[in-house]
Amino acid sequence: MTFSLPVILQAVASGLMIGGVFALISIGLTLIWGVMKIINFAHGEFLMIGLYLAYFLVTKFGIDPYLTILITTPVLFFVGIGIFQVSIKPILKHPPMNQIMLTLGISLILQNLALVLFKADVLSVRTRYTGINYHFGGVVVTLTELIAFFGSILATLALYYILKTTDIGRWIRAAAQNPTAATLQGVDVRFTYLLAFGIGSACLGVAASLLLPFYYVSPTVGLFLGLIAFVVVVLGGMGNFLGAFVGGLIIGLTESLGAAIMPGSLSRVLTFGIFILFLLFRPQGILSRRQA
Amino acid sequence: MLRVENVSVQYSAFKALHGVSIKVEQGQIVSIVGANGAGKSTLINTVSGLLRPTEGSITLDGVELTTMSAHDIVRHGVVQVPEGRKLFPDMTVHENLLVGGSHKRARAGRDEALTQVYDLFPKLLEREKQSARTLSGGEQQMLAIGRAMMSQPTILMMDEPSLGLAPIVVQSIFSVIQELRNRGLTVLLVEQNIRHSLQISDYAYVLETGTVALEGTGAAVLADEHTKAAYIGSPTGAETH
Ligand SMILES: Nc1ncnc2c1ncn2[C@@H]1O[C@H](COP(=O)(O)OP(=O)(O)O)[C@@H](O)[C@H]1O
Ligand SMILES: [Mg+2]
Repeated sequence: MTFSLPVILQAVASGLMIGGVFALISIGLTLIWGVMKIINFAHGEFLMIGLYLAYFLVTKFGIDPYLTILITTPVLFFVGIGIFQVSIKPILKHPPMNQIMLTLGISLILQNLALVLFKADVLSVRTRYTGINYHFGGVVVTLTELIAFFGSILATLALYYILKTTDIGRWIRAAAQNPTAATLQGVDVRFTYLLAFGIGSACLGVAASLLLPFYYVSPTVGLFLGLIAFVVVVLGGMGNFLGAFVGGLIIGLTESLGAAIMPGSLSRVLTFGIFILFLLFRPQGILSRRQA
Repeated sequence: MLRVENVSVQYSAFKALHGVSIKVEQGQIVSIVGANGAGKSTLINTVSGLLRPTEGSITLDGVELTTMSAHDIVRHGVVQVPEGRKLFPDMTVHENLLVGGSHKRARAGRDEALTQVYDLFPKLLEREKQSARTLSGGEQQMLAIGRAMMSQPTILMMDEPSLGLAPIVVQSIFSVIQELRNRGLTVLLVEQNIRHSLQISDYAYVLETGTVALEGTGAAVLADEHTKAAYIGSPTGAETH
């Protein structure tokens, strides 16, 4: 193990940066759970779709990676809406186990579809942003990580603003807190679920475009990122927006510190250790005041 | 105005309403009284579209509500203040009211409606920025009524609005109901406070195990020997004032 201060500081910086993106990804997942009590196990695969889309927009059409946000976000919104309409909506009132099987099934189908279409290759892009670094003392931060961090914070704030101040945002929160009461105010709860699922998925479009310049794409990329999002959501308290944000940063730090101080094969131990400890001792999450 | 005709409702194997018919005319207060489990909430929830009748029909000024979706029924002006209030606990008082006034028909007049609600319940204005869960029972009931007012109802159905409230608060809820009627609102009232609700009612129905056992003007039902014996002054009946 290495415990030198510069290594730790570097790990903290990188961890915070990627943690911002983890936060955005997790907020999408926690929003969907909070509103309709469905865990979308295909969340990571939706992100994979976004990453492939961004990858081809950059490599085949030469679009600036950050401009692809304008395409990946609406596309993921409609991917979410489409999948909700054909598969989630019919099972909203079914037992949780059926819902889990369904979203797990969707994730397997998407993974294998990607494997057929794009092979198992791990792809990445070089853009004009690649290789630009900033030095703060001994710490090096890449431009792409910085943009990903601030882009994720911005997207999170925008989503928070929508939820807090618009009618659609209030419908989403009302439907989450008491669907029957929302119906009795004239709110079309099914439509609200549809919107929430679309918005939760659209977060992944933003995240994909922000990640691509310093990350990679492969059919299984969603496996890891989806799992991270799930850990963050549990950490932050299922359905807790602010919790998912803080949780994302914490898991980003944990992942990065784990990689820096633990021997390679053990680097994940820290993250999943925290996950298990939370499940055992604080299932309601860091910020929630009562039961999960 | 509101017509419930020969409506039956079933919860899986259990039949909760057997061919119930009631009428509510414009500007009236109509009461539904009956013991716990008689089917009062079932009736109101069926009018709201949360439950579907197995037979019978529900119309508002001739418009068929029987198969209309619950949120559309609200948009048509048939609004309920549900039993147990059912507020959005983690939203502020102000946000709860805004949700009430957010369907298309209500949105245009939302600012005026908000002013009216705050006029009627100054306490809510004081607590505007507090989350609903922090309110007292009486304030929560006022918020539930205010939220329903925001939908700009033509008929307001209240399910046990005084349940669990201190006597002095019960008084003020009853004066609010009368005030609303004076403003032209039609009210369908379910109360366990039977004497008081019959006193302010134009018409009343007594529901017993899912059927209408008696109907008449509030005064007539109040004077009925059977009602007296069964609901008023008995240990299970409501307290008198
Ligand atoms: N969700 C339900 N499932 C099964 N039975 C129900 C349900 N809700 C109410 N009931 C039954 O229907 C009858 C009428 O209930 P309800 O309408 O709530 O009565 P009230 O409002 O007059 O007290 C009662 O016998 C009650 O047990
Ligand atoms: Mg009841």
